[in-house]
Amino acid sequence: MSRKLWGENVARREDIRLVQGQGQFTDDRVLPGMLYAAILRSPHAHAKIRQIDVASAQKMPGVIKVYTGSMVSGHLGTIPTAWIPPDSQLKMVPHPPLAVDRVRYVGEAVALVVAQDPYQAEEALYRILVDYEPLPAISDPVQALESSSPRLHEEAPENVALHWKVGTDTDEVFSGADVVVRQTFRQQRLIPNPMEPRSALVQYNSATGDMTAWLTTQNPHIHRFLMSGILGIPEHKLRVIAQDVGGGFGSKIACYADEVLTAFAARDLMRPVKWTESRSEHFVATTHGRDHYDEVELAGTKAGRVLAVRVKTYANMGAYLSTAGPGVPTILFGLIVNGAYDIAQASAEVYGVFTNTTPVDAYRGAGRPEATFLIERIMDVYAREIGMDPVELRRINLIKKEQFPYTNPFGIVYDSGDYHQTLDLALKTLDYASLRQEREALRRQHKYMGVGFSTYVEMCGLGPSQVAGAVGFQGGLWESATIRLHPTGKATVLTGASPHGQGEETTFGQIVADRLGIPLEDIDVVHGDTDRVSMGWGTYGSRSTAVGGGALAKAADRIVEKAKIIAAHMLEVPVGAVQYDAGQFYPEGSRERAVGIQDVTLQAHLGWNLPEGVEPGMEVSAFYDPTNFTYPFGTHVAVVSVDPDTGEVKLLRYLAVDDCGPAINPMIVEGQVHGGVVQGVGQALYEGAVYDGDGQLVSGSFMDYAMPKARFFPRLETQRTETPSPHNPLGVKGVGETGTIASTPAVVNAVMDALSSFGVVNLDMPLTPPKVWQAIQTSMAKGGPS
Amino acid sequence: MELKGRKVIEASPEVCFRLLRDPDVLVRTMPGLKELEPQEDGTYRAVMEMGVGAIKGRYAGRLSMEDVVDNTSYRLVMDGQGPGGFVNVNLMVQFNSQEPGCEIQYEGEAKVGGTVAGVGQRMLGGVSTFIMNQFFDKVAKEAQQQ
Repeated sequence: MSRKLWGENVARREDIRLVQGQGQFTDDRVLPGMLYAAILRSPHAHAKIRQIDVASAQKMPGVIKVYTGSMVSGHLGTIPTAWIPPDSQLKMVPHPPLAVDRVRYVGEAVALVVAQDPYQAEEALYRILVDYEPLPAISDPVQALESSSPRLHEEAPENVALHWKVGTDTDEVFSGADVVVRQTFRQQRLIPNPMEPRSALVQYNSATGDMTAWLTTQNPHIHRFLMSGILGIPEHKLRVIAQDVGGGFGSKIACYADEVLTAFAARDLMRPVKWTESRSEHFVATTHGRDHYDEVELAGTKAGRVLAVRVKTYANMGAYLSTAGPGVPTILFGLIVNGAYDIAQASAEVYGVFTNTTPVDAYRGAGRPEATFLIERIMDVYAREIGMDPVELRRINLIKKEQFPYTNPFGIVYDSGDYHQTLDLALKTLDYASLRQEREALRRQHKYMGVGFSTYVEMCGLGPSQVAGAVGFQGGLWESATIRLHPTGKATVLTGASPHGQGEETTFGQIVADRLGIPLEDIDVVHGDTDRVSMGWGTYGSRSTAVGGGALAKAADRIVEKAKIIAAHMLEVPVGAVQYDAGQFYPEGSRERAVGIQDVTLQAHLGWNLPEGVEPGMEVSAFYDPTNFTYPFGTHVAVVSVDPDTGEVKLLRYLAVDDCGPAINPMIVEGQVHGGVVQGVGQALYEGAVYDGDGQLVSGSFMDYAMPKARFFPRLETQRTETPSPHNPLGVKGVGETGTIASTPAVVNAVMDALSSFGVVNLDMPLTPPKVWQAIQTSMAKGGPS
Repeated sequence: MELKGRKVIEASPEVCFRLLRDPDVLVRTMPGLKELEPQEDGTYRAVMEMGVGAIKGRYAGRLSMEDVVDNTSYRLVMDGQGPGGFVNVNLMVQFNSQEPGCEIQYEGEAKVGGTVAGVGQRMLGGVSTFIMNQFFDKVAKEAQQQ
């Protein structure tokens, strides 16, 4: 089969409307008679609600109705979690859409105002008088476990949301090992901050009972499924549309109270209602990411062979369990803590803890960045302990090419890889030997340069539905695709994936154009509409191309299969004698007699003369359930300098060598790597959500929460190797999260390498100038650099 | 957030104490304080207009003076709610005789919550010192007019 577009840097088709301002984001949409909702949020981290007085708010100009928790509680279900990891003793605490008698975090929804315009709604919020009785609050997950700490939920008397253990018995290996290194790590809380805040617009038709909800979601069908239950609307009467969505990074997976309340008001008032989050609201009301305390131990030999690794983690769940929240620090984290290394014994123990903070859910990489950070950091700590170059240590322990498929200590089967190849390519690209020489030379001049590595693997392409069920995910993880060829040979392609910035309108178009031999401009890729797309599980976990693309390839092959039968009839030759190439069907050896797929499609639609038993029309659906996850991998290297006078860390070079299988569109792959790396470096150096002792988020704006800026970065260098996934129909592995997963430890390792002569082994992220400066000062007080 | 400071005013502790207990004087002197209405239970209903950075708005709440020792000290307790969240102040105020008049010492804590904590906390320390200085300057002027 010819591959005309596969591997080509086709410009993103979606950008034409986006750069012209013609995208259709939820907040862009205006409906006749539309009302606006605003949500009053708790300023207290923990308080009893004694009374809510809405009388004066109700009298404000333009106000249609004010809702409180007690008004909606009998008419709405609670906000559920959709991930119940087995053997985790998960405490499924009730999460009412509007707080009734108690609030548990700053930002929790307390009342909803619907008004004629958004300003009136906002104004009226401040006329609502809430009589709070403040309660002691706790924001730190380790402190929350202490018996003296305030308790959030009756159902979780110790504040323990879940306790989960996995892996092998490592005690014997640890007690007999020559070398044991231990390190505690803090993986700070992050606030996703996609460009587009969340929004919901809901319209209800009381005559038909149909509801349409335009939502900022990464998974419209999951939203339909959950909201139908919460609102009591039959699934076939609820349509969820997510046309253009401006980034999500996991924060638009969850089903939120806000969109449920907007839908409730639209039905109650029988008018369209829109709610759009402000940026300040986003900081407190949209799910956060990470927030771990981790204790890591590694047992190994003096010669650098890792024998066992074990991890104990305290993961902050926030005040309630978000949609995918419980799965993130367990299944997506614990099962891969051995990383890319051949380690015989490994175990993980995780406490998920309730605190008076915004709920925590998936954030780009979700669990896998946390696991990768731990193993990549402890490898460097081990290397320093035994006096070995971290690269050499990695070379010794990386899973070898001939070991694939490789079963890790948790029973996860890594599909394919050549880890050493990416490492070698990185070393060659960097000229590692001369980099080390440069580092030594600079050190003699009291200049501190560091080189940090991260040889990662991740588990994505979520995933086999059977495994989803086994690990407690309350849904499937297969994907659907429909290809509809119209009589003129143009194609509408429907996918259950729900891209929101990843460019699948382009890459999926490339797949179909190649398989069916029709021009890209004749193909429209439709996504994000539950009425048009039969079913889908959405876009997260780097699954769209691996799973959605797999479904699409299957559908395309079925189109060709059917068209071939009709073409044989048209050519008056047996089906077995028909050749197919790039949209052309022809008898073996007689290409000049070819009929095009467009002609075949027209005949299929006309139905005047079809072979016996062949149905008219040319539309095919396929459902693809993968047999395994996919396992992209690679080597990322950061080169940094640390200014000993100011503590400032400067990223001098960043190299990403990734293997995500064959790339359909290398430019889009590179774009994903760029974005991912920048977000991962954000965690290493800049970002961090900070709560004070009263549970107040004190980093609630871009003035106090440092997002990475373009000027902080050198030109990012990217390279790729291609190791296809053996089980995926396209061989692809997924690349949406690799950059975030790999880059955080690469940068921290580089900074620790730069600070090694000061005796600094670990500092908590983000590595801000004051923190680094203080560490240098402490070392100077003890006699300075070695 | 900790609040702590002192100011010397050229008036006797008795005069200063009286001024700082007088709702009319407080409305005139305290930046942003718009209303201070005595209530039956001895507390005051207060309305303040405050702005910290981008968070501006009207705060309504209660103010009371507790543990009052005439001409010597009292504890100022204030709870306010507004668009930016809430502000709770618990401040010990002392009046000491000192040349050339009275040293007013204050020490206590202000708790802020909601948006004002998330957006303005970093600036609050500076802002509160600034406001307190403005306040005492005005009180000093009031004292001169006595």
